[in-house]
Amino acid sequence: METRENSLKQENSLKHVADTVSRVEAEVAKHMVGQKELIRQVLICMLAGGNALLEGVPGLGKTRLVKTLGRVMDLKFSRIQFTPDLMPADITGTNIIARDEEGAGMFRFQPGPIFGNIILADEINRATPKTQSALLEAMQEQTVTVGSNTYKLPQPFFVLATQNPIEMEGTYPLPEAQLDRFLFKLQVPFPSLKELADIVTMTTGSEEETLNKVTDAGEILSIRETVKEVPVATPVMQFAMKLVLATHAESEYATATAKKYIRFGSSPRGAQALIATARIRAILEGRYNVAFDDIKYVAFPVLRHRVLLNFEALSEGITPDNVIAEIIKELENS
Amino acid sequence: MNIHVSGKFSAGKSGPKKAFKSLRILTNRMHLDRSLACMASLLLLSAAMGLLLVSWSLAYPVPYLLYKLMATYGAFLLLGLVLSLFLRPGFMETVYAADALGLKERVITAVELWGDSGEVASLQRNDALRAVENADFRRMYRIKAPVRRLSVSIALAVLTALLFFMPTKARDEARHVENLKETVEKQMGEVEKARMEALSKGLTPMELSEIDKLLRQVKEELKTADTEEEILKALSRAKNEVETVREFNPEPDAGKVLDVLSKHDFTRGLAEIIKNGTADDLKRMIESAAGEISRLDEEGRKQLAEEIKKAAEEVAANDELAKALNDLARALMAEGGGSLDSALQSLGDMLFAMAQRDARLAEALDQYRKALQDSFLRSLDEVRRSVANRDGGLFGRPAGESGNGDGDNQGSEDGRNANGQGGSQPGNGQSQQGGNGNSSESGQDNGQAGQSGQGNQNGSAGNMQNGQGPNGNANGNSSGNPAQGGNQSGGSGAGGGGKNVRDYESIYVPRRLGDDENAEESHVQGSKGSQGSSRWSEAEGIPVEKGTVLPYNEVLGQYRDAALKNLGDSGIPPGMEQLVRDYFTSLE
Repeated sequence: METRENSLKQENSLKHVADTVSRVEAEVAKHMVGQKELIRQVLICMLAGGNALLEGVPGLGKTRLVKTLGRVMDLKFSRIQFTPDLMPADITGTNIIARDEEGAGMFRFQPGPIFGNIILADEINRATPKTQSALLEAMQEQTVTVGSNTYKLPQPFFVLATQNPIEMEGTYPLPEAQLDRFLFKLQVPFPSLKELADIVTMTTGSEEETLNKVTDAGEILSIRETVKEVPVATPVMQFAMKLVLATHAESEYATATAKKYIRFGSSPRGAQALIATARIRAILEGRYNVAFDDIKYVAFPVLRHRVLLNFEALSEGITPDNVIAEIIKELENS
Repeated sequence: MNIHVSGKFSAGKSGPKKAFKSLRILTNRMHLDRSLACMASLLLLSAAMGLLLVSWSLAYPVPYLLYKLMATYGAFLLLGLVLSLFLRPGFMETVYAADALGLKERVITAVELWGDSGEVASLQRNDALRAVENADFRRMYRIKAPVRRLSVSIALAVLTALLFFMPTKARDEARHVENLKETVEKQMGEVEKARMEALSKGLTPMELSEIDKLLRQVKEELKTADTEEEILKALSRAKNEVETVREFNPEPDAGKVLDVLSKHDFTRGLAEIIKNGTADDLKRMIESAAGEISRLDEEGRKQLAEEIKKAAEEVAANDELAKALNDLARALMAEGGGSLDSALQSLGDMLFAMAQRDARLAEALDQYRKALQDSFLRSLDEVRRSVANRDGGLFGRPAGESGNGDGDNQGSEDGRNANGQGGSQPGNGQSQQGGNGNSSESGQDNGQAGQSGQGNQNGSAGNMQNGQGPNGNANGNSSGNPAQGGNQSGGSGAGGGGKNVRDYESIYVPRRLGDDENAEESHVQGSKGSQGSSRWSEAEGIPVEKGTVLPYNEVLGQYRDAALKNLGDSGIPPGMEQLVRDYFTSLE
């Protein structure tokens, strides 16, 4: 009897995940025209506890998306505009001299904008590497160390960074170590004609939809735990692992494409990211198990910033997505 | 996608199989699909093989081509049926297929989690079971007819049929071989019939087995022989085996016994009666023997009993006879001799019965042998006739059919020698021997062979060889032996109407004087020709050149005839006969 109740409860909780995500998507869609796939991928990334790097030209709604998500999910939202003169302390916070009640001077930690639930690191590649690296600890450990003190960041904690792929003058490309800490790298597509018209109508009109809070931090943390139980069959797991290994040109699983175009392959974080995000995708698809399709779906955002192409690929105009698609095809046919 | 399964689930567990019984529909459809593909592939293969076979048969004779084609198709289709039995997919294969058809790895995950009692595992299992139950595998898994392979197969089969009906020389030869084989088959049937008759007439299976053993190999060879040459060889071997069978002579039981009996004084008379006498003789003999025995003293009876015991030991292989002899020996040793008469009578009856049975057996064996021999000889004859007919009578033309215009004294062989050139044989009498009449025995040997024949220029015996009639009707009255006749008249071939003969190189031919093969050999010196001179003389101890020199076209006929005659008489394998014929054909 108790088992049946537990089972029902579990079923409900798993169904609740899909339901919550659907409601969030519906709510975000009130403020975002199109970009449904982008929204879903951002949500998957957030529910998996990862950080996302959004890449797209200015004006595509990246900031609006992050702000909307913060409001719909009732999370504390911070925005940091990265510039070349931005210092690490501007992000993490700093110790300031303050007076206590008795008037004595003392150092007091003044938290920076990173102390939020959703951090929008806008144009992250404009900051210097020193400042960019200030995010490393926060993104990986979800802590901030200032002086000799380490501060825990509020949970859930997501960094949603954006970068402009075309304006490279005066930018500092993210180092591989930093890139690897982003669970997903998402490309924000340019809207279609109809979407563009809708965007214009929505943003220049007088009416503005009111956003409702659909979920909160506690529920998101609960969902994170729930999705970890989604089973992965051995063949599916092996496929994911082979996919990661196949991105290494020197690996025994390396495919012809990988050998030809890849300079460095994905780190083990890529494999972790594949399984973690595929589990959420399976739930969102109404399944209680991970399928090959889930792995293939998340492979692009997980791996596209983890595979470094060689000069041959760059000269031929091959993109990481092309390479990943080919590797998947080759693995399926092997 | 080839990904190895190394999960917790073992396919041997029956749980998932039972639970996912709806997958059987998919299993059946996959099986059918694979079987169709397999059959189509093998059909294509068989069509290709058939085409190759038919193409081959255009250039090389392939007997029973239709049967072989049908056998090829049949064998491949049968192979396809057998293979398709093994193409049924296993449970795990079906699971993967179901997942690939849209169940999104639900089934494989459920199978792997089958033993897991966790909440998510049972949720997933139920989800998978529901998905399988709701799946319409008939729609999801379409059975695809292997249209392309079938089309190619049909095209090849049509091409094969077209080529099949294309007439070629090789096809004719194949049909000829088929006829030969049918002849052989018919004769084999007759052999079997004879065998059964022999069996019914008293030959025991054990006795027949010896003969059968000899014939079995022949039968096998005849069955497997494909080419004309092989068939002829097999038939020839069969003929030899029949000869062996003719010599097979199982020693009759009674014969053995009689030999033993003949060795001993007392039983010798008995043996004679059994061999040659009648039942009455035997009875009288036994009565007489009983009387003689009764007059024997103790020592004599003992000695006789010993002899009979020895005879019994020698025929120990025949239990009944040995027992009868032992009984007789015991009766001799016994006091009173009351049982002696009955023992003697019993022995006599047994021996007489054995003799009669042996006679029947010998008769049956004779009949069987005769049937075998007749059968094979008939076969061989038919085959030879068939070969001769097919070869267009190159060598098989009956003797004297063409150009046989020789004189009435001409030997029968001459006719065959003529072989279309008869006109030249009588010629104008310009015999090499008789051309100038210089022979030292000229005139003396008239009436012998043509050695003494004088040319018409000489006049002394000219009329013997004068070519008279047109077209070679020589009407000569030479009494020379057939072979000589041909040579004598083989001049320049100037006889009217005869086939033109080229001037061939003269070759040496050994000759003998007279008909007798022991006659003196001829001796020739000097150059020969229609105008040349020759001389011969007898001499002893002087090296001489024996024989004569004749144009080779004249000799060829002789040699060819002699060879063909020998072919018929000697045990040359029929296959080799053709080689000999070919050789002479090439010379012509």
